[in-house]
Amino acid sequence: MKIHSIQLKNFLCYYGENNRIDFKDGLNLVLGANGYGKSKLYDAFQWVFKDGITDEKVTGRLKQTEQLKKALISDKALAEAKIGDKLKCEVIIEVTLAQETYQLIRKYFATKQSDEIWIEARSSSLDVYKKDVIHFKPVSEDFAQSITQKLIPDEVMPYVWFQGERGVNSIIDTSSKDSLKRVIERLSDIERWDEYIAISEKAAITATNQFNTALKSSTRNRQDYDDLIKKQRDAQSKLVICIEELKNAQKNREAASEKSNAVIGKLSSANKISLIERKKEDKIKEYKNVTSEIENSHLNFTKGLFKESWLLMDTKQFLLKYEEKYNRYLENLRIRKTTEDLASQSQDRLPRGIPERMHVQSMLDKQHCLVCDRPAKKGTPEYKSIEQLLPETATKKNSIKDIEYDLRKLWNAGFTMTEKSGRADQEIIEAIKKKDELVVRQKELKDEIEALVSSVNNEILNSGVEKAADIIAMATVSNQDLQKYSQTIGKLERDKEALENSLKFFESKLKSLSIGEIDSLITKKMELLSDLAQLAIRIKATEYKGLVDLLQTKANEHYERINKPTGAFYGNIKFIETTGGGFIPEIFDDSGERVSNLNTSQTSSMKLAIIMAIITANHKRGYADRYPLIADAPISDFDAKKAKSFLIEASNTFSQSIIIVMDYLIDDSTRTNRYSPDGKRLKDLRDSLQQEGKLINVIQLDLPTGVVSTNRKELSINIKAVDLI
Amino acid sequence: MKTLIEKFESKEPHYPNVYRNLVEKLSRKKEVSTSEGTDEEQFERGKSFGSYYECYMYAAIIGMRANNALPFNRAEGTKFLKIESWKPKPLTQYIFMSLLALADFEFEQIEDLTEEQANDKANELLYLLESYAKGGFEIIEKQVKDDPTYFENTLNTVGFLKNQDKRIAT
Repeated sequence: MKIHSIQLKNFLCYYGENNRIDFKDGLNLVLGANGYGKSKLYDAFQWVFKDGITDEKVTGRLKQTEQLKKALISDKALAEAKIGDKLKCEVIIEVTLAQETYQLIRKYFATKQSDEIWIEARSSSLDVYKKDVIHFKPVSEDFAQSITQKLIPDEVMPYVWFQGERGVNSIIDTSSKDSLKRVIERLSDIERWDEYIAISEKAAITATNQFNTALKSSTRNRQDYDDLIKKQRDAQSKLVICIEELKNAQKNREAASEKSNAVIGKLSSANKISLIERKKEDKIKEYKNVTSEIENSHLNFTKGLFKESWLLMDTKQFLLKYEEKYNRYLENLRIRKTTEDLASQSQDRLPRGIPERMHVQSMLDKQHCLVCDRPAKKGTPEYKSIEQLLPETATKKNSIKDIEYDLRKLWNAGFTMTEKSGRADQEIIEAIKKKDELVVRQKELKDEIEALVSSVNNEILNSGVEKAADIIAMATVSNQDLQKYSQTIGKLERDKEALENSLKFFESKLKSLSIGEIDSLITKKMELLSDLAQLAIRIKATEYKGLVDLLQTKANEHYERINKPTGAFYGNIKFIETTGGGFIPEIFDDSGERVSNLNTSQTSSMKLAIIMAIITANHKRGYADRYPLIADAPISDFDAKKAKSFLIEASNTFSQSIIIVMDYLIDDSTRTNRYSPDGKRLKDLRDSLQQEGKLINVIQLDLPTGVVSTNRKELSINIKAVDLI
Repeated sequence: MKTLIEKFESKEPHYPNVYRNLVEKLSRKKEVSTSEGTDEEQFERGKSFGSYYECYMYAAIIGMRANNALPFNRAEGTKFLKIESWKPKPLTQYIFMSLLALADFEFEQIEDLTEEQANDKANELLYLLESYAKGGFEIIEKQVKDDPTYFENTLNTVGFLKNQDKRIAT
């Protein structure tokens, strides 16, 4: 099959009728950023071929038209519809198969009855037309019904049409040994050997029964025979139970594996979301701390006024004024003291307490010294000399000493406070600087938190994982179940082997009893048919191993070509045989050591290499030429070099490939919030493909100016062919 | 001197009733603000001052720096916390020292005071403090009228003090 074009009319975000993409041979690279209609384009292919689109909530399942109904129609078209309008949503794919060109047209209708009520068709219809020279004519109904299977059979589709990491994971589950088994069974004739094994085992059992009947009729060694038969039956019963338990355990493990598969596609996104959530929580915590510190810093300003004495900044004038007053007081005090000393000296002739207080007071009252009989006017040194003789004058002297001390103490304290408040300017500058730094950090954190919230939302939007913690918990539980059942299976397989050996032993004993008793032809027949059954099992195992080896070789070829140009370590893929007969792909380094903790890029490239190997290993069936590859976001985990080498490898593997990516886009310098194709990288890719003799056709999914992808009622997509001249 | 300080600290200053709203706007609302309140409470309320006395000290310093002493009738005033309960103590002492410097008497006049004399001098200092505080409130109120949310930013509260000299000059 070759796909020529796809036309989308009012399908999901593809509003209007003018949405057509023409595809060419070789690589068709569709570029679209998040929210630009990439996955909806992939959905358009699924809708035409499978009547459903990807169910975001269940990996690997499609949501059918019956469940979606008018949700299939462009929101913008729905918003613009008037009462009575009948809206059509349509996707037309034009393909060629065996030199005949067909048009596959899937349609869905809904009519607006009132503002709230729509009459929705229950299902969609698929019309198929065949090109007859120049016109397309309808094909028969039978042909129309079988055309999609002819174009791409169900068993092939998952390996050539897949979507992102989830799609890849659902095909190649590296944790399940049955994953590769299913691939091999689906894409080879290996199942036929199971029929050979069943027939030969049945024949061997019939021959053994015939032998046992003959032996039973013999009378010699009756006792030994009975013992052996009893033991043999006992072992057979145990073997039946063991096989039954083994089957149950395998079923349980299969169920656990399915559960694990259902979430494993989402696990990487869930882990990513969980990691971003944790980062976000840490940032929010830091944001709260910084906010609280800012609040405290505001508070510290008024606290500083009192606790750090900033209130007293620039108030030194009061200290100086006090100092002036104090000095004046000291000077006056000094003069007073000198006068008093002089007066005191004149009284040195008289001892303390003489004359008595009443006589001294009398002299002061009279302003006349009765001792030397001279006048002593108030205010004169003579008067002060008499005053010195009063006993309380000595007390007053002490009081002056006290006040002088207190005043000095007050000055000292004031000086200390002035010194302290003198540092206020610097302290305030530092406090402001610290606060400003905190405000800057707060803004940074706010931006970082917003970016993390946005990346969580984007990741949820892209992956459909809404409850990351549930997915992680579910994956852990199902992995534990897988491990538990694998251990049980291992034990039961060992028990089964031991019982089978016992049965072989009893069989050989019975044979030795039969010598001379039974017709040798019966014995020979039993031996040959038993050998034949074993042979069939061995051949199937050999064939199976051959297919696994082929798949491994091819996978490594693709894996090397995808990874080698990056220069980074990539190792080689080995399919490791497990105890139950399945295979698990793992990466080994050059010294043969298994590499654990692979990064997502290594895991993705390994899985994509295996998918390619499934196609190329079946070269006899020509899958790579018969079916185009359609992959949505297969390289989101890859760096630029790896993305390029994957695209080259895909082009070399498939005759036609349609790969939808968000890579190869850069910011559009001429438009706000828009992207333009990265011409430099695209030309480099084109040149590399030309060297391999391959062609490239680039298409860009763009949003019209002014349209915001989150406003679905205005959303429409512009499809542009990108010219790489 | 010791008696004078004790007498002064035992006083309950008054502020004019006309500034009651202003004081309440800038400080935590309590009938008699005896509590400093937790820092967080204070911030949540968006008030610059944790107590009335902090606001009062702030106003007094503003008034003293602007040399804006406005005597008022104490009967038309509201009393609040005793000076001895104000914190931090060194700040109160500095204000006391400044009042002594600004008072209209020499230090000789506080020598050897009787109880009664000490009380009179303490009152003199108290009235001086109240006059400056009133002068300070007048300046603050003018600023609040110009920009009602000015003092909600604590940095402005500090900055206002810093710009006092410029304000006086202009």
